[in-house]
Amino acid sequence: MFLGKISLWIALICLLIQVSHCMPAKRRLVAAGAGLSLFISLLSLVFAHVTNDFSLVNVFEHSHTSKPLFYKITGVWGNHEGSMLLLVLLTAGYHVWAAFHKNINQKVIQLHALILIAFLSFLMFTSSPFVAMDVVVTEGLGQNPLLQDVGLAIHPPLLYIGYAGLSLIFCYAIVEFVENRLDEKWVEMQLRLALFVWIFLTIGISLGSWWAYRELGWGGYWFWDPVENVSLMPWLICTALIHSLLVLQAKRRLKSMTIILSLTGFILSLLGIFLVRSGILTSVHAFAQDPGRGLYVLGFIALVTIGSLAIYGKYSNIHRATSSERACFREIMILLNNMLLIGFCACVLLGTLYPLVMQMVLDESVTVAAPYFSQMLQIFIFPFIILAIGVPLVNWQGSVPVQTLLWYAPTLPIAGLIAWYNDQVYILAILGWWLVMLSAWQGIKHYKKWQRIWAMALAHAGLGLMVVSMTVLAYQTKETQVMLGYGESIEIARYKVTLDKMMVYMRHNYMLREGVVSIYSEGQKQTVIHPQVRYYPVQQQNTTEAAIYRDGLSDLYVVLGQTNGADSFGLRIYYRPMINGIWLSVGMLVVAGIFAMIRKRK
Amino acid sequence: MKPKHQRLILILLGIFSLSVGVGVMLRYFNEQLIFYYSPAQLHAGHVKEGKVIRIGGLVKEQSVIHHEMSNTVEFVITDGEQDVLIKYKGLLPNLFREGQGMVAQGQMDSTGVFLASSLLAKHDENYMPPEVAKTLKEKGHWKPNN
Repeated sequence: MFLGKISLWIALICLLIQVSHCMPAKRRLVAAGAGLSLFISLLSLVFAHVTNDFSLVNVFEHSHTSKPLFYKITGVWGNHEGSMLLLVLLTAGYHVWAAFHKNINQKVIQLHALILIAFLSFLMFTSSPFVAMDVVVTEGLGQNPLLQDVGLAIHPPLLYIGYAGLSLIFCYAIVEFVENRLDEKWVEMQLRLALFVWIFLTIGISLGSWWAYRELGWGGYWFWDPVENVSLMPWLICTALIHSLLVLQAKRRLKSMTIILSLTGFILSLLGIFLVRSGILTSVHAFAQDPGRGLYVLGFIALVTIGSLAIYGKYSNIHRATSSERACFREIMILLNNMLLIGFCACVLLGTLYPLVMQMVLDESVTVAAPYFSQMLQIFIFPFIILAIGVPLVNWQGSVPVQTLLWYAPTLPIAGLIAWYNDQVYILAILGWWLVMLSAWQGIKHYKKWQRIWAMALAHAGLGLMVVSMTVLAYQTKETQVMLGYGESIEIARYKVTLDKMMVYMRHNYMLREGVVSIYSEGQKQTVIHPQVRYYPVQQQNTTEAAIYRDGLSDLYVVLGQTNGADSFGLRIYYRPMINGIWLSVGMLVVAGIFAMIRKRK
Repeated sequence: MKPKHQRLILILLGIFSLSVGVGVMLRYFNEQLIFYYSPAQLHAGHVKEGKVIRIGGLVKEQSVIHHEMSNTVEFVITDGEQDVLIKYKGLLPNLFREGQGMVAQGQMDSTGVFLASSLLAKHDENYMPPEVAKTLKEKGHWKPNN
């Protein structure tokens, strides 16, 4: 597609102008030019998909005339080239914002343009979505049906908004570090950037998790899959960065940690791009093999890592500690929190990189199984939650007034009662509920004051709820597999599940076999749900659509299995207690992030 | 106690807890390392019975047998050279098809049958796990998706 290709070249030229400092006064125009051309390029790719333009390899390989319109559009970023274009466009979005923002230094813009050039040239020269077919075809190969889902359709753009922002955080940190301009304005701006990125990373990661829960057929929401880990690590670093910036803002300390975190976030995001696109991974989420692409990104990562370390080393001595006060308790605890976040991130990094290194260096195929990660998390979560409980009660001067202790004392017994009432008497669950109660109390106590306290209270309460939900889910989940005939039932947890009958239907691009399943609890019929098995003739592939009965914070998750061909049908049923608590807690985190970003009107 | 001694003790404590932490982490890590074998490698090498490993290959055509009574299924995985019989209890994943790639995780039993605890059917956009594709390429059986 001519328009698509030429737009990419126009964008490249604009960015080259930006980097070379030819037209510094016109930086906004140049940035807008780059952004607009990239947008036009993406639009032309979407147009090609929507109009079934099979002259493009990208459309041929990933689309089909029978694919519904919504998925034709969102399928544009369901493949490597299209999603790379989306990532470059979103990074350019940050570039345009930065160029238009008068407080951002020219050098930051130039460095960011350089990074964009690297991304764009990677796109144009190794992964162009506009490669033409050399034969004429009238139909495409279609898209993996697992990817044709609402959650997965909007997950890439939202996640990428977070990822892309890390590039700007990087540039803003390294340039101002070298120029020794890490003042209050810098801290405030970096904090808002970090919050913005964090919000979208949180949304993006949880959408992916929610998709996996609904689509992968066994009611699991996190598998410590390398692709998941690679999105989690920047999130951990970003969380640490936010806390570090808060200390920097309050006490003018932790400058080095803040800078290092700003650099690491971007490097980890690059690692993410590498892992997902290099073809080393087995995952429904990974893009297909191409060693050429992998090496290019790896080289770029090495360059950025070594470069930033070198620059940090060279210029670190111009930053002496600006505050001679003794470190207060709160500051030390937040530092500890950050060290733990970095430590956990390192654990995840080891588990994620080790198979890769084994593969590339020793040609050995090895996996690090999920229990490593989850056991590590179970160890780390204790200090995290204890810090989250204790530290917000201590003020920046390092003291805890007795009145404060008395005021908050009732929260622990209340938490214990809640846990006992809900049959959730586990240490982590009690600690989690305590954190929720404490944070809620804190929010109420300061309801007239500063938004940042509400944000903190809500975010920590979200963390508490997440810990409770994950703990209860882990301990109390139940699962059963059974063959049922029409009218037969099985009991699980407090429910009775009955298979009423089976139906068969035809749809737009698939056929389906559906079970009509009734769910009873306490003798009453609660609902009828419809688990399905779908057959997509184009891909010759089956998918299962689980049926989920949402009962408050818990779910009953029913999956159709195979049939014996006659009158008996396989059902897998999972009881997932407090799973919706996880999604709710994510919502709380996101709202907390938004609260934190709202600037107080002076 | 002198402040200098205090600091020394603090540093030693820090190093000690860090080493303990890293030690624990590495122990967990080692326990969870799972190696991958192709059927040929399995027959050639000596894999300890009872060690958790992964094995992958193509599901051999017409080798799938369902045992309804015990809710188990049997099938053969091949890399073109050697075959391995796999037994799995449970419902087969959706992406499981004869003639397509599959990775199983489990243990070899004493009779040379692989008892799978889980079947992995997570593929990339071309429906083939990379390890299986690699093995097939080496044996000359790879037919790229065209």
